[in-house]
Amino acid sequence: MTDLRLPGNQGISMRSPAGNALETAASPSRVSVPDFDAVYESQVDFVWRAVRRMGVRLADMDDVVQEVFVIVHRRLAEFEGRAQLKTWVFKILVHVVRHYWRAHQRRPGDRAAEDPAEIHALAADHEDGPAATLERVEALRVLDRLLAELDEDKREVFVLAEIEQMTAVQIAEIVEANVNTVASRLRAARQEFEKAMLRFRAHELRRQP
Amino acid sequence: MNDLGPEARSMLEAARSAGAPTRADRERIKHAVLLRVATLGAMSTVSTAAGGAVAITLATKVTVAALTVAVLGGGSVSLWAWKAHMAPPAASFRAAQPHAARRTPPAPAARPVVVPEAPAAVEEPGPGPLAPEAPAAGEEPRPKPLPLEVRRREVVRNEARPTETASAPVVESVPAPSPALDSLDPELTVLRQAQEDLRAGLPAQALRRLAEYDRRFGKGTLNEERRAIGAIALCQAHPGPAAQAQAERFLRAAPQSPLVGRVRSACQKSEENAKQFNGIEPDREP
Repeated sequence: MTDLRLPGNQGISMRSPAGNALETAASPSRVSVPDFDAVYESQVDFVWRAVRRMGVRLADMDDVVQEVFVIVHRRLAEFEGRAQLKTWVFKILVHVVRHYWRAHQRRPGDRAAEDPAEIHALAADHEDGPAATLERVEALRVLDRLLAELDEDKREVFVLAEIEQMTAVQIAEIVEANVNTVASRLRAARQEFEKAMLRFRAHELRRQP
Repeated sequence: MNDLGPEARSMLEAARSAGAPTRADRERIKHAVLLRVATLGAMSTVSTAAGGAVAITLATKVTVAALTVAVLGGGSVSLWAWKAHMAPPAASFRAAQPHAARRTPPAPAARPVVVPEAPAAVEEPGPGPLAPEAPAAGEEPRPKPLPLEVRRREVVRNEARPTETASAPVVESVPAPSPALDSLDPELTVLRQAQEDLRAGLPAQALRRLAEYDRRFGKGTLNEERRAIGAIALCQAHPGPAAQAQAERFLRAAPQSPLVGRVRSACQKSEENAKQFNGIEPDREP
């Protein structure tokens, strides 16, 4: 299992009952509520990336990411600092994405890889030339196509481990399964991902003249 | 240990740095989140006051609303102060977003919303000839809106001292009504007016506001909240199978919404009240 460097609560300003912004490390014993602004800024990139790789279409990204943070906002007072902030946020994320899958009643990512808006979205933020942008878009498109081969359980574990670099223990907490289950899902997901990649490459070879 | 080959590993590594949202994405989503949170906060008084509108006295109603604000209002000021600080006027904000167009095409929504383009005419009786169930303004069961705004503002001002408001959790808070609120976002303004109608016992007027919302915003940012208010209003204005069906559609489409309890409670209460006061099943309405 890959070890990971997980950004925890360090750097997140917390509000003490007196209303002063405090670092958590400064007063671990005080009951404090994280500041939503800081939580949002520190987590939105992870959330966006994971939601997208879990197969939510680009057109639906706003709604799904919004939903995650509306719930985060609402439950912020319940965050007790015992869990890593990212783990806590991702537990909400997985809940919302599962609901999305159910509502859409299709395999995650069925059409995620075909989203034409992806190019514009990526091009908007990168200025290293159209060739590099296309290459990056193509790589993500291939990745999403391969991820779409995994079923939901394996895909979420795979994304959390391999892209978000979380540990089995953290993932177990997020997906509410035991660590052994997570480990075996991840093993299976890696094997399936490799097979999907082989199939994809073989298919590409056949298409070449 | 790791079954992934070098190509897979390099692809995944690249994905870690390539998949971030743009700055415009971040700002747009944050704005929408805060808007929705504010609306949810504002709605926390709707079912309390409006649900009991049939049975309780005027004085009780005012007290309930005031107490609700007194209890929940503490956290509101920080949110609104923060919003006033960060939120530009919504119209210009949206116009400035390069990806704003993504929301406008009729792509399938993330939330399985079953609302057609013009839900007010179909699902909710609104004004006009297409909505025969909607009573005219004169048929409203309540005489006139209560001046709750003033009372609520006073309560909030008295209860929310700066030190408390800065520290209170902003969860499910009730926003303090203020002039800044109306200028905050036109979507929020219309929904807030609809909530005020509900609070004042004017559900048909609330439905007309929602028809206006649909005309102006279509499936807006606050669509989920709009549907919740619509279900509550319909249950109060016209309890019966159509209202129940609309409430159920909302509950199915947004089971995670914090408004689920309010919709359920308002619709149950309206059914019970209809039976109690009419002595008949409310289903007879056309």
